[in-house]
This record gives sequence, C-alpha cells and structure tokens, in this order.
Amino acid sequence: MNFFGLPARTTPAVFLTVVFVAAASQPVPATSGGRLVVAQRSEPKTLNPVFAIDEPSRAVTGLMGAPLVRLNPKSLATEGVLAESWKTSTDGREITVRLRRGLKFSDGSPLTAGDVLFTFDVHINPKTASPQRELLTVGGQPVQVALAGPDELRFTLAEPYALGEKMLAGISILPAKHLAEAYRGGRLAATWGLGTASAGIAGAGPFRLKSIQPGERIVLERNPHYSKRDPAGRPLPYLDEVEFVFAANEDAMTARFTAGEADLVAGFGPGSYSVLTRAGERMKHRVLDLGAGLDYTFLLFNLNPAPETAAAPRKWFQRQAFRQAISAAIDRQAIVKLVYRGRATPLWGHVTPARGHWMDESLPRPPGSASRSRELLRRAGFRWDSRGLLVDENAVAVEFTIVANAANPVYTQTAAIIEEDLKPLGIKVQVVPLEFRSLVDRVTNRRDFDAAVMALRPGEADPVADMNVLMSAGSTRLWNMSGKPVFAWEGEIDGLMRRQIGTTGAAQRKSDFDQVQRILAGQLPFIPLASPNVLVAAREALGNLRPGAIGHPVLWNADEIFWSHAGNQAPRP
Amino acid sequence: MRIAARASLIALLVLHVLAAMAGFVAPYDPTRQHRQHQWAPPTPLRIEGLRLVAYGRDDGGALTRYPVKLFPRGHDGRRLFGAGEPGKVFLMGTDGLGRDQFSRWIYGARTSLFSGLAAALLSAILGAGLGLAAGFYGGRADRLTMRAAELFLALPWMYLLLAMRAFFPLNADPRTLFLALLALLGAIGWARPARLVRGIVLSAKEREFVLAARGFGAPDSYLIWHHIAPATIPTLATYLSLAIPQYVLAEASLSFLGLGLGGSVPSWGSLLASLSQIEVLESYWWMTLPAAGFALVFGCYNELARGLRIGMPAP
Repeated sequence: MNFFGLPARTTPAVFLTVVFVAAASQPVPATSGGRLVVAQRSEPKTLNPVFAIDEPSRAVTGLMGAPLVRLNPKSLATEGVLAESWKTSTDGREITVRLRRGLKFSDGSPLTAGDVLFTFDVHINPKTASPQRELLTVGGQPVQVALAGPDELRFTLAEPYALGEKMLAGISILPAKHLAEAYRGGRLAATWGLGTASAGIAGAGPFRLKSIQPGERIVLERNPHYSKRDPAGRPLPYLDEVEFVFAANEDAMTARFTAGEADLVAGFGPGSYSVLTRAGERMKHRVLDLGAGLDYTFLLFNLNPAPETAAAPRKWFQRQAFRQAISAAIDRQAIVKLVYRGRATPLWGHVTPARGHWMDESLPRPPGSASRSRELLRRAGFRWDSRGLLVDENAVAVEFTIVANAANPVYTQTAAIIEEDLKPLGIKVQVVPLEFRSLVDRVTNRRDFDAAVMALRPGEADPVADMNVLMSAGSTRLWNMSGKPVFAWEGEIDGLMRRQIGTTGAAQRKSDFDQVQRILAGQLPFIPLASPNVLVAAREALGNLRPGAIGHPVLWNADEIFWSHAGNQAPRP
Repeated sequence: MRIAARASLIALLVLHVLAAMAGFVAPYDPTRQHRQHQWAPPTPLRIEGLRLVAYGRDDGGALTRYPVKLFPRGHDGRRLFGAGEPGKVFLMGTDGLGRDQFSRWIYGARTSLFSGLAAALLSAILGAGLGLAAGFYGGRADRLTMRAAELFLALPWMYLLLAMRAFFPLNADPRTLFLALLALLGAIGWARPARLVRGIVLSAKEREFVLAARGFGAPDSYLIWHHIAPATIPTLATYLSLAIPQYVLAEASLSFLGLGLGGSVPSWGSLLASLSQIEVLESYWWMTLPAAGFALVFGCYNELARGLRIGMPAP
C-alpha cells in the first residue's frame, strides 16, 4: 500500500487487472524494432529491484527484472515467467518450483537455482530491510527456501498461506554474481543506483539498461538473452528500446505527449484527460478511461490515543456517531463531478470496484443527507446554539482542520467540498494546504493533525494488500499509529485479517474480508470518498497494448508491445 | 504630479475602497459553491430598455433571462448587485468548484492589496528609523546596522515564510496568520529602505543649514525631526510605490504555491494557482481575468512612482 508519491510498502508488484480495453479492433501482425518513449512524472529513485518501492522505480525495474511467476491480468491465474512449473502440497505449506532450462541474465551469465536462493535470502534477511519481507513472513516465521534438485526449489511455510505461489510474483530474481559482495558487505541498498554503469546491472527481464541521463531520461534496450518467445516462436520483446523521459509534473508530462515527444502516458488526472482527448482529434493517439483503479481518496480522522489535555476535535472523533455524521453529510457525487469531472467512482468502503469480487457489494451507499447527519449528531450529544453553530455538551463550538497536499488540487478541492458540506451543520472546517512531506510527517510521525484528505493505492486486489493498512501492527494504519488496538473493533479487524491470510479457502477469505469491510464502513476511522479512474494515452500505432486498471496500466506486457507499420507512427530509429 | 500619476492614484484608491467593501460589492460569498455551475463562463449582460439583464443558465442548465438588481437583500445582508434566485451573475465566470470568480477576486484583493500595503509600510517605518539612526550617529551603530542590512538582504525570504507557515499551529486563525505574515514580510524587508535613508541622511547632515542649526546648539532630536527626516520623505514615498506591488507579489507567490492563508480565504495568488494547469489555460479563458488585477495594480503603482520621482524636489 503506498501513498501517492510516498514510498510504497510491502506489496509485491503483481499485475492483476479487472478492466480491460482492447487496444486494437483488428489484429495487426507484430513487427520488431522501434523505440517506445514513455513520459513519467519523476525519475526512479533506484534501479535496485529490492528497494524499488516508488512507482517510477518499479516501472523501470519491472522491465529489467523477471520473477519466478506472475499473475495473468486477464485470467487472474498464476503463470510462469522463470518458473517452468510449480506444485503446492495438499496442506498448503510447501511449494515446489521448477526453473526453466537455459535461463540467462541480460549480461549472458546463467541464471541458476543459486540465484533464486540468493534472492530470497536477501529479501528474508531482516538486515536488508526489504519491503517484501513482511509478505514472505507466514505465521511469524520467514519462508524457508531450499534446493530440491538441480533446477528445483522448495518453499516451506510455517502454516497455510492465502497467497500461495502468488507471493513469489513480485520478486525479481537477482544475479548473485553482481550483488553478493555488496550484500555481504552491507552495501546492497547503495548498489544499482542511478549512477551505476549499464554493464554493472543485469536482470532477467525483457529489457536491460542502455544509458541514463539523470533527471532527463533512462533508455533500456532489448535483452538479447530474454527467454520468452511469441506464439510464432519469435524472440521477445518486439521493441528495440524503451525510453523513459521525466517531466516535472502532470502538466509537463501531458505537454510532452501532445508535443509528440512521448508515445505513452499513464496516471494523469481528469484535466489532462480532456486536454489529451481534444488533442487526439488532430493527432494519432487514443485516450482510454479504464474505469476505477485501486486508488481511493479518503478523509482520515486522527484516532491516535489522545491525552486528557488533547484538543477537542480528537475527543469528538473518538465518537462513532460523530464520524458517521460527517460521512453522512459528505456529498460524494459532488466530489466525483467537481473534482474528477465524473471520471471516478464514489466510495462507501475502501475496496474499489477494480478489486473485483473482493469488494463487498452489500455495503450500504446512502447519498449525502444533512438531516441524517443532524440526527446522528443529536444522538451523540451535540446541539446547536442560537447562531446555528454546532456545540458539544461543554458548549464548545465544533470546528476542526483538514490538512491536504498543497501541490495537488484534487485533495485541496475535495477538502473544500467537505468544508462546504459541513457548513449547514454548523461545523466550521478550516482547510490547511501543506507541503506533502510536512503533511506525511504530521500524520505518520508527529500525529499532530485533526483530519486529513489523503489517498492510498493498494499494490494488488487481494486483501493481503490491506494488511499494512488495517492491522494494528501495520505501518500504514494511518488513523491510529500506536501499533495497538485501542477500540474493540480494531481487535476484531486484526483477528479477521489474520484469519483470512492464514487460510487457503477462498470462500472463508471472502467472508472474513467482507466482515472487515462492514466493520470499517460502520466505524469509519477514515471515510472513503472516491476512486479515480485509471487514464492512459498512447499512440494509435502501438500494437498489443492491453491496458489494465491494476498494476502498471500499460507496461505489464511491455515485451509484447510493438509498433505497427500500419499506423502513421513509424518506428523511431 | 503628472495626470497619469494622478489617475493611477485615483484608480488605486477606488480599488482599495472596493476591496475594503468586498462584503458589499461581491455578489456572493467567495467560498459558496454553485455546484451546478462548474467552470461557467462570464454571464453575458445586456441592457434591455432601462434594465440590465443577465443571460445565465439555471440549475437545470437551461438558458434563462434574469434582471440584474441593485442592492438586493440576501440572507447575509445587502449586496451591491445580484440576480434574484435562481438567477446567477458571474461577472468573471466560476472555477472548478462553481465559486464565483468575481467575488473571489474582490475578496482576494482585500487580502493581497492590504497585505502589500501594510508590509511595505512596516518595512519603510522600520527601515527609516534604523537608517536615520545609522546615518545620523555613524560610527559603530552605522557599521552594525549596515552589516545587519546586508545579512537581511541575503536572506531567502521565501524559505523563511515557508518555515513560519509550518511553525504555526494548524488551527491558527487565518487572520492571525495573515497578520503574522505581514509582520514577517515587513520585518525582513527593512534593509533596503534603511540603506536608502542612510544615504540621504549622510548627505543631509552635512548641508549648511543643518550645520548652522547644530552651531546654534540645536539638539539631535530637533535636527532629525526638522531638517533630516523631511529630506527622506520623497525617497520613502518612491520606495513605497515600488515596494507595495512587490509585497503584493510576495503574498501572491505564497498563495500560488498553496501555502498562503488557507484554502477558503481567497487571495489573488490562489486565484492564479489554477493557471498552472494546461487544461485551465486551454479551456477556461476567464480564469486568466484575475491576472488583470495584478496588471492594473502594478501599472498604477509604477506610474505613481514615476510621477513622484519627477514631481518631487531632489533631496
């Protein structure tokens, strides 16, 4: 789970998808060659896949590395990448993986079971501080990895694990030859930074590093040792090069695309969508709205344990009815209409439609209602003074601040709508735009805020992505960062989340996760507001483009993307 | 004073009066969201017979004709003009949340213009006092003041303001924050006028009539108040006419970055912030109208400064 712009946490870079848009109505024969230019908002922080937790880093390292298995975004089934086959024992505690034969890293050196052992040793070692470690810890014990044959590995778990072999999906296999020395010397985190020469980096992905111009561009070239082939037996990838160009912000990214300096952009807002759509009428590109993604914006209450002397808002927030009243007053449709121009889905639970069957469809979705809100407030002991201001039982006027990221109008506008919605209730809200790092510091470290408008993006559809956000011990449980359950319902969520992750029965997991969603919808430690749609723009001549709303919307199948000569966009030299 | 300078002075006075009366002049509360009128262009106005008529869209989106009334009474008192509900008059269109841009512009003028005026006055008063003392007494006081002035001139004031914003509690009242912002802006801006005033004092205190007064036994306070300080007034007036727009710009810069007085308090800077988005620049031309306020204020102050420079005697 990661904030926008914040380092992502422990979720693997698995690529699931629910919404698909067929890119081409008629199949076009794939041709090899050409360069694909992708505009990104910022450059990667690292090229080391172990520590690639921000989105730009994951986009680049995802093309340079390859995991044992990945999730097919269409079927949601596991498919082999470096693994030829795998088998899970009947008790769900043992997974045996057989590697493909003749695997090589991009520098031509062989990829062996020893490299796989090394990779998992790196991730499991607590000294590495790998963000994947939590995912590889089952029942409090790290996964045990051992050789089961020359090309076979056995993964032993302390207890059955809901993810099964999917836990291997986001972990790129590392070349021990290149990294073992740095790992032993405790310098792994500093290895494969942006200053590393291309010859010093190797992976098993479809592309390898060609050149870096810091702050400007990163060019990847075809990995000649990539093992995958297309159905006709031709080697993949089709593209000769993928170039990432970096723009300072979304508008600069959009401008680069409309100026023809980039062939692909993703992750932009509704404003850019209309600019690109208009430009698409005169340029050869298409703009796609893939529907709801995994992101969700929400109004967060500060429920951290407060001392007796804490400011009044912290005490009001402790009351469930107060939180429910705020939720009832917010017009989510207005947020979708005004902030996202209709390109979002209003939410009453934190699970978005993109997460498919994991979303509890039975959650009530009441429209904004000031009268229901007033009733709830009355029941919670609040009343209105002669000026129409809401006051608590000590006659203290109800007012609180909402902090929001100053750099992103989506959050400040959402906060302004909430401010306006709460006015008729006699609640005075002060929106405080803050610089992003200052906001995160206040919420996660100092815990000095009343309420905040924020967003989170789960790394995948599975409830495993919520462990960090909902469990008491989770490092991203933003409403209460004390690490302990304070309310009984927090303990109940802990129990349900622990139970669903420890079972392989899909029905039981669904039932437990639905129950978690119902508790959250009733208790509302944060009020889910909207899930913005995933928006993508690409040149019409790009073939095999199968964008999805989950994972990287476009580059998840970068090895299969090609330039169609049928289009007007000729491959670049 | 030249005619252009006089006209500028009058224009500035009118603008400041309008800003001071924002609650009456603006047809709507600047934070009110007309959610059915997102990105509405300026409402066309026509004179039909003896009546001013607005052609706007009602909440259902239908084009409707509404007479514009003078001094209509709303739930929060009388306004200068407005259309009877459900009619709407958006002279400068609306923003993405359906807020009336004209109302926000007028309220924003109150924030931006008065912050510029007050901060410039504060810096001039502080600078004049210190510059007078440094120039008149010389010696160690002069050296100390001038070194401090150099230090202050080198300060990155924008970072100071950002730090100050972070230092204040989140729930600080916007008015308190506004005053603190003014105080800091004025306090760190004393160095430039101090150096100007010191230079004039160094020259003025050597003039024959000052030396004569000193020879007749006039005390320092008499010399300063009756002979030295008046010599600095033309320079200070010119300084003010140049400094005020700079301070207006400083406040606007903070608000443009979203770090001004807060989301609900409009200022000219926050009105211009949306222009950093390509979509707004491409599609909603009326969002550029608030920039006209800057052009008007800067032009008028500039003309005023020219008029003052030409019209006043040399020190």
